[in-house]
Amino acid sequence: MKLLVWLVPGLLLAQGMGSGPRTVRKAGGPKVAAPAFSLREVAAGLTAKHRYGDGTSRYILSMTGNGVAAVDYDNDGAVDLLFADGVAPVLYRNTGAGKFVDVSARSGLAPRQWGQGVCAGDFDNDGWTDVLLTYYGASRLYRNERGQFRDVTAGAGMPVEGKRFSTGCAFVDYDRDGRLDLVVANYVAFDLEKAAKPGATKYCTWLGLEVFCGPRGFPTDRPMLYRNEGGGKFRDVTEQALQGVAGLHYGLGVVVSDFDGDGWTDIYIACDSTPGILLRNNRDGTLTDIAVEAGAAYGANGEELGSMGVAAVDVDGDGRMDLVKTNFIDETPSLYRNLGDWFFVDATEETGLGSDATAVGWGLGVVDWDRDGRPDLVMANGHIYPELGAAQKQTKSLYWNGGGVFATVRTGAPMASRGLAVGDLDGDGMEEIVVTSLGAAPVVYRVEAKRGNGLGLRLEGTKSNRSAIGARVRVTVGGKTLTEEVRSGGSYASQHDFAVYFGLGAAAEAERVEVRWPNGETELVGKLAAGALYRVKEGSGVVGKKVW
Amino acid sequence: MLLALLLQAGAEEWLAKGVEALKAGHAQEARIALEEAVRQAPGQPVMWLAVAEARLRTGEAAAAVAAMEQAERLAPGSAMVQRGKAMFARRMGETAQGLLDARQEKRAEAVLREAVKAYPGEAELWRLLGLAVYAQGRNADAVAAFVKAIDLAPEEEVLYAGLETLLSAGAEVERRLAAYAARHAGSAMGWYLLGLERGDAALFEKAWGLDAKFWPAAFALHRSVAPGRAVALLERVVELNPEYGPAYYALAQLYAKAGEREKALAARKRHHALTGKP
Repeated sequence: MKLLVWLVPGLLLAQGMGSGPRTVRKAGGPKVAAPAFSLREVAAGLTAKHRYGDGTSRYILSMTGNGVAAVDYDNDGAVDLLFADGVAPVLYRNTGAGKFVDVSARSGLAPRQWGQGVCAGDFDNDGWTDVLLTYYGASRLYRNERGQFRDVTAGAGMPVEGKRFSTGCAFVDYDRDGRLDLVVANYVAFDLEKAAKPGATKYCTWLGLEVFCGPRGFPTDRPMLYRNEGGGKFRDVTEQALQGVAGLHYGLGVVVSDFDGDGWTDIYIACDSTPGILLRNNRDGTLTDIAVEAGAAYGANGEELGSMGVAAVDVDGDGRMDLVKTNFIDETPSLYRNLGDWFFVDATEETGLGSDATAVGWGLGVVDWDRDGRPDLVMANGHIYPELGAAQKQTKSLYWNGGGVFATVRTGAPMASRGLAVGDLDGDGMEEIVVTSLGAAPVVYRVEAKRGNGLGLRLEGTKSNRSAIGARVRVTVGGKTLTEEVRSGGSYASQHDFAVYFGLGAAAEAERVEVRWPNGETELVGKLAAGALYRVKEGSGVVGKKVW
Repeated sequence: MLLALLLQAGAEEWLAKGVEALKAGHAQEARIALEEAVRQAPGQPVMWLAVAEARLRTGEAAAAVAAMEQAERLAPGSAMVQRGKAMFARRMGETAQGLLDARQEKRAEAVLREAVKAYPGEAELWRLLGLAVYAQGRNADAVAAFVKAIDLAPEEEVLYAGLETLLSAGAEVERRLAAYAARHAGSAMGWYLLGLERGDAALFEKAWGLDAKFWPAAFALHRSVAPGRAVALLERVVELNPEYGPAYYALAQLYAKAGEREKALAARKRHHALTGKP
């Protein structure tokens, strides 16, 4: 355990961190004043407090907390919320305008100990979004049957028993057969029955105190890949499909993205205290870990980072998906800039993302809250040790993107936060941010800022997978092209809503919108006016819209 | 009636009462109860542990440390006491941090002076002491505290960053650091710190020349020279220290930014081969 982790607001705070947005300057460029922005808590009716798997925080199983999915499970057009939880998943139905009612009891989601994360995707292409809930033990695949979930894990051929400590996950059509496959990250190799008790070994003490053990001291593990064989069946293809992935990782957050722009979705897994995993899609049914060669495995000084959350985002508007990660305290968030051809360079420091090392970062969301066409970042933070008392709770981090350089503020009530998902919960055209925290009820936030125009797209695949996971949308406005993708997973063990949003600044319309569908075909949607969420169906263009 | 009952209470009851008061945040009430508990049962270390916390909360750091030491004297090998002692180090730091946050730097310093006497090996307490005296305008004392912290935890980069900030704020400091470096002329640390103070790459070079494995000096140096010189420097570092992984990564960063992908790739692989085993 590192020194200096137990008293967070040290010199950096004394120097002004957290005091408000500042100016940013790109190398050689003029100073840019960050506009005012703030995080506001929104009353949403989320009352169920997070629960630990066994009611305590004695094990590392509890430290990792839980993820959240922002997903429209009942197809009523409003984004609902599904929370993984240590005791039983909690499903909230959005009754409209961002108000929620707990429908867990009649959801079909079964109580089960040691829940961790959640991801979503319509694996059977029936138009109803299914979910995977990850657990310590065995994860559970739920089929959505017209708004009712049914556990189909056994029938799908996935393990129903075990001792894997699964965390982040994502649906991904890695072989482009139109069916969503599954990638699941695993954290430490852990056996609850044999687990060392707090204080038992040097990995279970901290400043002489007896604390939960790990992750160091536990064996590492590897991610799993399940291929969707059709007919509701999945097959474990980890051995044959994942190349160069030794079982030497503590895997947490998962994101899927097409990093090289070849139309085949790749995968990144954020890992705690071990190198990150970047799985290049070889377009032949296999993926190879090339994180080390690509420069996306380590921190800026070559150190193994304590990475939790992850996002793929084009921070600099060059059309290539960069990588952002949340990390442990005394580290900062990381930014790997994608230079193309599988070559990343750590740009954390020069972009200002390395200005705050006081947070233990977990959930990570991308929201262009001022709709200026440059994606901003929001991070959920919280320390790991309950022995810290109040200091376990930390404020959220907002990073405003001033054109490839970031200005940051720490804001919001301190909590021991973990999962984070974004989605437009109240249907007003701006995404809200949902954050889970240990021992507390989830909180919905929105970023208050002066904003430009925007538009959104919700895609539906026909030949491609119906969730359109892996689709890439390019929006041209003012001669500049913005790029975003439909993704499963992301953040920390969480699922953002599938809709994608673009900031158009002062422009009243996007000059050109095109979609490259997961099967590789590109469809020109054409011009679209700002101020609406468009429903775009593969092969049919715009089939509906909701004006804000 | 309640008072009468309390007057008849035994040490255990006073302890329970005191702990409840602590939980409720009633420090003075807790102090009264717990002082009575140790008066009645002076041979029980648990009583002293509890009263230490109460004394700390009521602003009596020296008396709190004395209570902790008394607990240790009574049960030197006790796991409970050792655990309590470790917890108490953290509590003292938290208390000091709270005082610093409240801009009560003198009180924070008083707590921390006692804390570093009791726990001289805790770098974090020295760091906080540095902050407390820095907040009172005593930069030289702050630097001394940070240097002590770095001596104890040389791997913690945040300490160097803190020291760097302090160094930029005081004139006295340079003289003291120069004296320190002269006294330890064969040690890389002093020259490196003086280099930070003066922003003098030559001193980083001197420090690195004294100890080619003293990474902070090489790191500072490579960041303060032109990219071409930095590459040459790091290539020299890895020549001298072929097993030193971080230098390869720094080299890879420089190669990558210079567009030399093949060299960057080779350096990344070498770094991974040296450091990539969990």
